[in-house]
Amino acid sequence: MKTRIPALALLGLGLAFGGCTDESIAPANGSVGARGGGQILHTISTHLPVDQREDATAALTRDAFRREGRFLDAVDPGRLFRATRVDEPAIESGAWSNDELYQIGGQLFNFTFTPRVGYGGKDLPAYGRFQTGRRGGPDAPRCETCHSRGGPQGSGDAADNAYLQGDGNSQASALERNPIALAGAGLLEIVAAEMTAELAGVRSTLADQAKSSGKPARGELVAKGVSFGHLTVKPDGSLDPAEIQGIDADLVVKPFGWKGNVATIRDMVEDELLLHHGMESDFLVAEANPARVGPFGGADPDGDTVTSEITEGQVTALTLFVAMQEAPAQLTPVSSEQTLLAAKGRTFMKTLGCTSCHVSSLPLNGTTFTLASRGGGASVKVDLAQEGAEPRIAPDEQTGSFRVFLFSDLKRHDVGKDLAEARADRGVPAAQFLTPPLWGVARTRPFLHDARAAQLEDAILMHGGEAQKARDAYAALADIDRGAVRVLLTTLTRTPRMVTQ
Amino acid sequence: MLRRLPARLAAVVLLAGALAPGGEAPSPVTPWPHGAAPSAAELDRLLDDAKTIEERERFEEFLAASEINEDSDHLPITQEDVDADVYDKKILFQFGDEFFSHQFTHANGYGDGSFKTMKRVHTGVRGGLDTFSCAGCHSLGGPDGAGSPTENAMIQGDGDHADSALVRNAPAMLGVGMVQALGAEMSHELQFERQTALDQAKSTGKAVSLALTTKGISFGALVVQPDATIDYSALDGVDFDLVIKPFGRKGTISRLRRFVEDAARLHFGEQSHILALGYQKKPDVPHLGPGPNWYDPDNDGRQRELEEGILTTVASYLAMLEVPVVLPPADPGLRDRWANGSALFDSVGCSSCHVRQVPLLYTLWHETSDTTAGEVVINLFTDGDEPRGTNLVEVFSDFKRHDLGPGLADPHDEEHKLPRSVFLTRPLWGLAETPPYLHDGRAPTIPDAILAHGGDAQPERDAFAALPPDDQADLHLFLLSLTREPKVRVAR
Repeated sequence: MKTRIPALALLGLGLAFGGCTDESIAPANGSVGARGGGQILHTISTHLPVDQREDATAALTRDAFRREGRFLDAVDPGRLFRATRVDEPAIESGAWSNDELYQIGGQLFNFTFTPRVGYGGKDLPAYGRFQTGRRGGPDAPRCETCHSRGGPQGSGDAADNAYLQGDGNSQASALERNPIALAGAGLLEIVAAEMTAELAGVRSTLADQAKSSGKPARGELVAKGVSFGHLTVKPDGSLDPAEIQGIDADLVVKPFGWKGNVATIRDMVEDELLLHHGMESDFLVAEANPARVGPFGGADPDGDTVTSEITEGQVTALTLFVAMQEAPAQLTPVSSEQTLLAAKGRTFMKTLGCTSCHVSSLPLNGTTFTLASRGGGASVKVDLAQEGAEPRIAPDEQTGSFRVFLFSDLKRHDVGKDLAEARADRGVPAAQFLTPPLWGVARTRPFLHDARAAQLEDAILMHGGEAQKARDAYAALADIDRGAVRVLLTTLTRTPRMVTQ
Repeated sequence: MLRRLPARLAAVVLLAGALAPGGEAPSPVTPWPHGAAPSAAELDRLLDDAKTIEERERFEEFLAASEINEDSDHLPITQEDVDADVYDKKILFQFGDEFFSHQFTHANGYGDGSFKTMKRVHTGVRGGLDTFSCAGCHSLGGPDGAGSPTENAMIQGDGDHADSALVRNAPAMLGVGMVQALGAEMSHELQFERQTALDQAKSTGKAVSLALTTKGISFGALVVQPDATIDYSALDGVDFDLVIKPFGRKGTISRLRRFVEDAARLHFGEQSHILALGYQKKPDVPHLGPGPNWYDPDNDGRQRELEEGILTTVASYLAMLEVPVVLPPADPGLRDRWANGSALFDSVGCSSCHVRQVPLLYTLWHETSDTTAGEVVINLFTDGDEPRGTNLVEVFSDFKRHDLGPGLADPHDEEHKLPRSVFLTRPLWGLAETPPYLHDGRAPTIPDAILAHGGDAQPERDAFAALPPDDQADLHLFLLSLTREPKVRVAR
């Protein structure tokens, strides 16, 4: 410890709050209850005060800690990053509360990665706006820069689009993807997992039938009322996937990515760290797929001389941070006239056929987000209705049951040739996209997978393929009625919160 | 909470007697940047501002939803209306603010009519299309802020390949009114000095050697002959026209209205009526498109895409934006280190180009129109958003162009054929909120940016590199105090 680091700052911001000094950064050695690395910096909170004045004070307080933390990092380089190096064994032993892990994950979300901590790779350019294959850019210094529109952890501007799986130089060679808002991500994973379980149930029922009857068994794949076509199981247990619709043959509902090809937040988070920042998790390094992590092998496959760029604990904290994001909200418009329009718009959504894919809500059996240990330890569980960031999902007042007001069927659909890309993406045909959930949509402009639609009107009118009929029905409405639909969509937003930046 | 603390740390907390009632860990002491929490009155003012904007935006949002393109209704602000004082400066500021976050559409003239997806790499000097709004690339660190590397403009390229383009990171817009006014005063002084020398040479019949200096900043020398020929070979950091051009990474634009006009054209394909009027006299096909009609050079069926009144409004808005501030650390020990860092900023030599304070003589800025005799007169210290600073503008720039060496040089020539390694001294105010740094955003941290300097700045860069680590840290810490005033707003 350098003598010039102010003692008061250490006492004030480190020791007194269960944080770490250089000594306590040492690994926890798996001892139960030891917290090891990681430190709460008071820059992130799950709490959203209802009172605006209180909210503003809280925002300014977090901002003050952010500023002072930046100074402390200047005189003690690496402090901000070390504060995110939380140990997986300590997490799994319960040494950190979920609320604290949210804060640490949020610190990582807002941390600017540098080559010193592992940003980039030896085989990659210092900055690659158009990505190179599955190796990525690197194209962003931190998560927050592309997830900040419409509020914290929001979406990205059109200028923030990611250009995936390209040749590293040409825009035309890459697949264009607008960064999505993260509100509700944990609920999305839960509802998708429940649907996957339901489909697995259908499959095993059919398998039992086929086995006992000795004949192929065919049945409809339905989860939460959404049909994914039909499945045929042969007596030997093998599947005929020909009639499956809108989902992969593995029958896993994958609610993340515009193409619906990622099932869990952890997989998403780990891939984004790799693609956008060249920050390689210990887990991916151990998997050692050179096409993704780099050609150099060993503990440093990207050859940048930094090993253990992202620990399992950091992946867990960042995953929980994303999973615990607030639930999007539906707020009433500013005038009674527009409230009436919104009600009318809701009816139009049904009659036009919008809600046949943008299903307005799905039932939720449970609200616990579970992150299984990848090292044989205890799972981390968070009840989003109790511990998520505010505002949280709440049960129906009368029935006590939960629904997610997603406006999605979590299924892939063909949306026509105008929206189709130049090629398929990891097996998903060029014109197929996951029905994007519309909750919070008013805070996520511009719209569509490549952000080509500046306004809701444009986005609706650009639908084709399976959505052509609904699109044409919308286009045939009088402007005042189209306005009703747009007003309804504008009520799908986020709860207002005070921010300082 | 306590049960989760390691025993050793828990003991420290207990010994310190810092446990709050109820066994909860103590709340940390907030390191307020101004030394104390905002007063009730200050908080009221911040909240009022935040709520006013939120109510307006929410109202506009629903109105725009129910009536398509309603939010474009502010776009036809004509210069005639501005000249007739139809709008006061508060309204102009509000319109400018709305313009800044307005997402342009085809109905407003976005693109050239053939848009399908973003064109991130510009096609020659014609532009991209790379976003829908100013705020798209100017919102990092707060409203009217900077851009992230993903938002970098890739200018003057082939329309597809990243390596064909010049990369430009979007700078923050705070304080640009002061910058514009300082540039104008400096230009005026330099031109006055030249005119005085011309007069003197003529009347004395002898050549005059003139050291060009304004506001204590040297721009080299001129030799003026009695026959009015001028030797510019010793001119330094400014064009022969002696106009300071503080905007653009290479210092190519002197007025905010031209900056706005250029940005709207390049990034949205929104062509100002002033540009169309110029096209009428002399068609500028490379910058504006093939026509054939002068009033619609990009031939998208939209004319008067950007009224002159809009240029005046947005330029006035930008001139009224708040000014960055210096906020040292709260901790007394860190403050000592901040003071050391501040002294090092001078002793290392950073301040020889990043001049700390440049005095502004005139309080009033006249936003003059291009086609009428009208103007908006802005008091730079009383009109617009707080804080406004003082007339000793803490801008940390000399507004000169310098050679920064081959390491930072552009990979290609740019349209003005300025040397590839020459850039304008970037004003450092607000620095802490605008990472990453340098013209292409290559430096994630301030020390990285310092160490990337070369050319004219090589000695200062080397002096920094030779400092002991603690001194480097102190200088870094000092530069992190160049920031913007803490404010609250409702997230949008």
